[in-house]
Amino acid sequence: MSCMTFEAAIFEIACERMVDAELRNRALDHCEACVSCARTLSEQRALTRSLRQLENEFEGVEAPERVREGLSRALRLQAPLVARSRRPRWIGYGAIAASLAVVIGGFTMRWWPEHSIEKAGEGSSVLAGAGTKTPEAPPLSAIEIREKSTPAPKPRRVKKSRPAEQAVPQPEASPKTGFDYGREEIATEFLPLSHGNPLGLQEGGQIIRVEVPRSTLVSFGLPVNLDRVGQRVKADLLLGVDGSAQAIRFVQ
Amino acid sequence: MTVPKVPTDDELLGALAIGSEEALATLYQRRQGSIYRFALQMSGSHALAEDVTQEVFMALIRREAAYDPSRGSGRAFLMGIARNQVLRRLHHQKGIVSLEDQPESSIDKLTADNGLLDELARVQTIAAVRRAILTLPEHYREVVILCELQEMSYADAAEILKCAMGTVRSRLHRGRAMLMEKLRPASQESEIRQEAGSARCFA
Repeated sequence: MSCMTFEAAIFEIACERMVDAELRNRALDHCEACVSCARTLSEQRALTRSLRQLENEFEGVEAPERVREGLSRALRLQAPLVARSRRPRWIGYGAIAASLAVVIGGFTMRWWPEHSIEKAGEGSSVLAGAGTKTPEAPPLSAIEIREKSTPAPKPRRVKKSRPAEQAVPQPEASPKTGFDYGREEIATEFLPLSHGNPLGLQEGGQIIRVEVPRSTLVSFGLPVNLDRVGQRVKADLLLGVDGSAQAIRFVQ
Repeated sequence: MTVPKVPTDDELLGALAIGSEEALATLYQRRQGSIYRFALQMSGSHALAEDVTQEVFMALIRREAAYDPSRGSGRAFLMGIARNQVLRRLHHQKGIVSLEDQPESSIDKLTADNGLLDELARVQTIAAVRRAILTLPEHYREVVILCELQEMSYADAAEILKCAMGTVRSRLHRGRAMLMEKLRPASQESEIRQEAGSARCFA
């Protein structure tokens, strides 16, 4: 064995990692003939002993208790964070659209008072947006985030003035509004239905609350949680005066 | 009599993936020590080691790191996260290697027992080795720590470092040689150089 071959294997001999007994014996034989390599092996063995001592120094060293406590706190805080991160992305967009809708709705009511809810309540229009003078692009009510204390007078008025709606099923079975005021609701924009005719909303319309299979969301390009695809989701249908469905929005 | 089955790291990581807090607690109890020691040995800083230990398990809680059993053991997975965290922090504070927080046992204990020369030599040796390891380049330091102080096999170290076993072996070889140079007294160093020039054999 040459010194170079010995050097290649020396640290494995020194830290007793080598498994090839023959190579080990040859290396040890070489040490007997070579003073330099014998010294190197001796030093390497001393290094191994020092490393073992250092290893023993660290034995039993563990992270302080405060690390575990910090993790426990983080774990408690993390649960709502995870839940929040699973919220569908369209709700964020919906919130932006809701803000815009409130601003636009405010302007509409201010500048065209003759088409406001007051007038609609007399017999024709349900939604302020549906009763504007822009039939080419009827401003379907976008998104609404209803707080518990927020009244929702529009659907109620319609129900009083529209006898035809009594035939429409009301799954929520709320005699006042049909909306669940007991919790915050988040809704998408009204999405026009392909067979609907926006012109039919010129004379007014009404909103009814229904439940549809969650898979319906897919046909409108909305994300669906596969785990909940078998469940139903609430939706508001916007009906024209002729009772035909013009648009739909999904409510959470 | 039935012996209660101890869950493996793989099983615990699997349970953790579906949100088991119990699995996290068990895994923490089992692995925090080695992670903390690795970070401490790599950095010489208790504060950094604490941060790293916490961050490894936070990564699991936040599901930032997904464990794939086909790519290695659970232990290697956790140590891999720890290694990345250590390197990231060391790069942030490049050039700062803390030597101030030595193991508590060393000098302080010794002063109470004056005259124990053997113990003094031992403590000095340990301190010198520790300092020498901390001054090694990172890619040698981590191999020396994993293979020598954490007693990992080349295969496990290779998994953690994401390199070939041959690379681990050669880095360990080189790392140990560098340690030798650092630990060798200056006088002995020159003596050996002289000897190497004349007495080296090529038999």
